[in-house]
Amino acid sequence: MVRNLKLFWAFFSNSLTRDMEFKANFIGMLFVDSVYYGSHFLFFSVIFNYVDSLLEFTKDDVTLFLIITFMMDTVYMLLIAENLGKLNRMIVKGDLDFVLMKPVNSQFFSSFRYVNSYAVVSIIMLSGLLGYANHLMGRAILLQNVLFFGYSFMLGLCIFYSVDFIIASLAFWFRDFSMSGWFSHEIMKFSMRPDTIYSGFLRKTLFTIIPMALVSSVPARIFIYGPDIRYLLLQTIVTICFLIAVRIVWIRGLARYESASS
Amino acid sequence: MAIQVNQLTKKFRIFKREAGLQGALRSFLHRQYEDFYALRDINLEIQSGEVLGILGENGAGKTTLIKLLVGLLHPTSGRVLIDGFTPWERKNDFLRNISIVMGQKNQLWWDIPAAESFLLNQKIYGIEDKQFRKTLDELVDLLDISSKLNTQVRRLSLGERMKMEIIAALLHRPKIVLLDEPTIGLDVVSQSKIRDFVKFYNEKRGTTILLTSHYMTDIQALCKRVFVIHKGRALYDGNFDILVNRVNPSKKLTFEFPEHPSAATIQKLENNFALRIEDRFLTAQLPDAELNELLVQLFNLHKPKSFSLEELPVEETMKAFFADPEKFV
Amino acid sequence: MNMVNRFTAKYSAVIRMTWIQALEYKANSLVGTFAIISGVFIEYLLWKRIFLTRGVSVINGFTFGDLMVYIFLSLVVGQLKSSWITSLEMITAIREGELNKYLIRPISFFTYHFMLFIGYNSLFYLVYFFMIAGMIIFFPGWAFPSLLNIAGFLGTLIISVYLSYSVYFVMVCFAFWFGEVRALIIAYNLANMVLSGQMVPLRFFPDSVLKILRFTPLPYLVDLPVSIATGNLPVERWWTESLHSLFWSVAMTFIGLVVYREGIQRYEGFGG
Repeated sequence: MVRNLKLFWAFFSNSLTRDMEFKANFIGMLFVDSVYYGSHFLFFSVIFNYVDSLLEFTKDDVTLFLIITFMMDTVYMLLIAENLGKLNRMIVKGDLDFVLMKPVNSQFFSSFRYVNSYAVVSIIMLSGLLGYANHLMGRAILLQNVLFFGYSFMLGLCIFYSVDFIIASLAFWFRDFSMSGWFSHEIMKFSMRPDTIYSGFLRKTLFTIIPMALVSSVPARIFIYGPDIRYLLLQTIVTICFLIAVRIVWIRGLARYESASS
Repeated sequence: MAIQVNQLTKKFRIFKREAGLQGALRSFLHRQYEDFYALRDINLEIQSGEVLGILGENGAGKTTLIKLLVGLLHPTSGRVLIDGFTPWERKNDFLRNISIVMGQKNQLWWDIPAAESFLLNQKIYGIEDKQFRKTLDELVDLLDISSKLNTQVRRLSLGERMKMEIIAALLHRPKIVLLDEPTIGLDVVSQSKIRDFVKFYNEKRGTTILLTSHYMTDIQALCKRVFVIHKGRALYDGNFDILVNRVNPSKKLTFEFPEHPSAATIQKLENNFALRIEDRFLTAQLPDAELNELLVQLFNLHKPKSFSLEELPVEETMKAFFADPEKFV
Repeated sequence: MNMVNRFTAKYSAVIRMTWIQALEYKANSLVGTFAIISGVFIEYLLWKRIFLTRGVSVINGFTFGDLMVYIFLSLVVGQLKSSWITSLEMITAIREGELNKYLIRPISFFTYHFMLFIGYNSLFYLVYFFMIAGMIIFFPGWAFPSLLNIAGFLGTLIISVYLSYSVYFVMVCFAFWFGEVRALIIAYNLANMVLSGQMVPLRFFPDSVLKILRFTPLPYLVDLPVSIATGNLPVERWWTESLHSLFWSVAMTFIGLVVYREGIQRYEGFGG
């Protein structure tokens, strides 16, 4: 564990060195984030020109939900996105060789090798924005809400990671699946809308088998309405199941990689 | 015993693909596979500290063998033991003792200075600070590359990059190093520098080295022993010089007469040997035995003004060998 | 004539090559289709909630059905016109010196990649053609009130694909100056999702935003072809709008040409 933390620190400093090298890109990525957030806010502001609330989510709630969604996205960007984005090509091109030859857990290595340091700035800005929006709405910040929110957020991140990882690993089986990133992006879209628009069977699915509602909607609910034991429990169970699934997929995939690469 | 390979076989299932748009369409609908033996019944023993050259044409199975030895592939059948480890179990203690340098792939990160990647490898292999410093200084010194340590890898020349790759691979002082085409694409000077380094390093550290290269000069300079793979099977395992000699036992003789030899002399020599005489110079390419005979005759006839005996270029010899390897073994 | 023949032969070979590749990458066309279906589906859920909450049957002149057809078509057009992946490859070519390949061969960087883009997308064109045809057959009257609308849609779609590519091309050329400009492409692509009308019809936007958009090529990329297809744009305005989009195409091509010429002189051929 300590060794992995040390290793992660080395990953981070490596990546920071690179990001400092491309200052324009660093600023560019911040620009991308702003545009991304801006366009989503614009979209929902258009929506809220025509409606006052989406069931229990009021306009204010949706604003907080969006900020939390962006935070999730950005933390993901920071830690995972680039790695899984590259995983696919590494599998297909055989570059996983170098990873497998290191005396380090290969899943850890391929999940955290690259860090997108610019995202730190975005995360700080979004946290500030979340606090500020909360303040403007005249809502108090309760310590227990924040703590449980933190916990739920972490689980959400794990679920996000698991789903993306499983999709990226499909390259072990379908070697030409170069657009896995696109595919997981499309799946992730379900996590970017307040869960109140889902109902019936779909809702059940999005809370379990394809747990997109657990990624950022549930953390947002905890932040807005306070801890809810049912949501937290469900999220915990699903997270554990998915992390186990990821492990299995990785091990099976590696066995395939090793027997197939030339 | 450092490396022991028994009856190693690796079979691949390959996807048969037809050319052109029609072929692509057909395989889109229905894929056909066929078996392909990349390696068949390979037996090999390598002593610790040995430098072994692995030879073979493209697709002969060299890369497959190397990948099996470092544990990147699981064999279809057979056994490999390296210091008691089975490579494909990939135990950390095994991985800490091996390393690979591939001339065609790089592990260094393109956009950052090599020094940064070295630090990362320090963490990965858990190398003590002191030992890390010492090893790094030593390697950098030997390869004479200290001025480039803080340059982004993408700004380095190919030769410099290869030196950095080698440093990255040796930082953890592996006991076994695989060099897969380490000099590919390099200029003659860089090639010989890397050769000298490998030789020196092997002698100093007693590291076991497995080398593949298309440059026979590399092999000749570094490997006493070679292992030749042909179509997935072991074809030759033994001394390189003997192999070279077997393929082309001839040497080239140049003999300079002090004065024009008489027509009779020329006639006599030409009747007995395949040679050429031009002006005062005699040249001949002959196997050792015949060459001895010729020399005796020549020395009886004349004192030479000068003469020389040369080995034939090993590149040429091996080219002849690979044109039809089965003929010579 | 000979020139033209050689041109078409050369570039049709490029397209053919990409077809072969596209067939190998069959999973990708499935992802594209999935993207459209899931995209429409999410918007369907969202708007259903909105229509239910407000208890109305028409918003801004759109019934619920109209809106879904609009969103469906705009997602299709949005995907067909977006060459961002090609653009990222072009940037890599410039950054890593691969551009040399084009400079020493008698092909144009602009046209070659345009053909690659068209080729890669060919499977998508086919799949989406059937999707739209299916919509026309099984849900007559939902879109394309007349044959004229189909013709207008196809015409403006072609302009849109070209216009979109030429806008990306200008941004790609910035790589000559700034090296790594992928961020710009991605930002534009993301903004495009909303600002060109792929998620909500542009007319739903506040006037202030619309006023700004009118001075950019964005409305001609998705909103124009889709508005023509759905009959939301009166026929008498087709010509002026199409002329606008043609104007933008010519302008962007010209700008691209100038920027490329300037850029190529700064090109260092990194990596060799």
